[in-house]
Amino acid sequence: MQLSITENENITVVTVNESRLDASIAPEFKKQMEEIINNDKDKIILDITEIGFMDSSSLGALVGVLKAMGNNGKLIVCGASGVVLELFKLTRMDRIFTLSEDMASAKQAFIADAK
Amino acid sequence: MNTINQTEIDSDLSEVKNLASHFQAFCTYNKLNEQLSGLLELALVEAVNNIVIHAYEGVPGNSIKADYKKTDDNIIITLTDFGKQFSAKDKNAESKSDDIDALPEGNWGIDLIESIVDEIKRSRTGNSNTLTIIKSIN
Repeated sequence: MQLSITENENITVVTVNESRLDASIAPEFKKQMEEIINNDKDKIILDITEIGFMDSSSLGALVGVLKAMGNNGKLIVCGASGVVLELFKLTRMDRIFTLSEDMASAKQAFIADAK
Repeated sequence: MNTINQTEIDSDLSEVKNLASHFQAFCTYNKLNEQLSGLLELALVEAVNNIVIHAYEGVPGNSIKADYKKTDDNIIITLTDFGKQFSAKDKNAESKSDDIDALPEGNWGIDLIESIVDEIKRSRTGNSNTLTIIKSIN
């Protein structure tokens, strides 16, 4: 499970360096994300642009991450496309998560919140 | 012309990606478009995950057989396992709440399969379960 983390203007960008997020690695993904959140990161952009396939176990892990953020932080999911975006839509989780097409619009959403 | 492909994996979640890769090769060979092949891969993976988790209760070392067939009208995926029979009762009721803490963290699999494919058949013969999912391509 490969995640890379960068910080920019109090925004933490977590990039998933995997082409596939499935049930075999979803628990590890959730664990690593919770460690990031527990390290006082409250503005997170999760970049899933590289993910070409994701199953519902991984989406469940992502819901767990959203719960871990609580009311004190914000998570924006960036770069969902193709069947990954369809997964969000079919489960109606596109109504729950803040989805951004690309990194620029994700960062803009945080800047707009700050104003 | 009908094309048929078969494969078999162990009942281990880490093996599911190998089955998915095999299925994608089948889709490529049969020139299915990216959207359709992606959704069918999702349905297949959800079905196999359910077999690993429910039929085999997460225990590796058991067989899951997959058979894919393209006819003039349909893609037909047949999965066979030798685990315990399980029903669709673990379907996830859609959350009506916007309360984040009340959101489900799983059990979307059967709903997803139903929303993607056109027909689902389940049967048990002897000690084997067979799941057939059919998607029209016309």
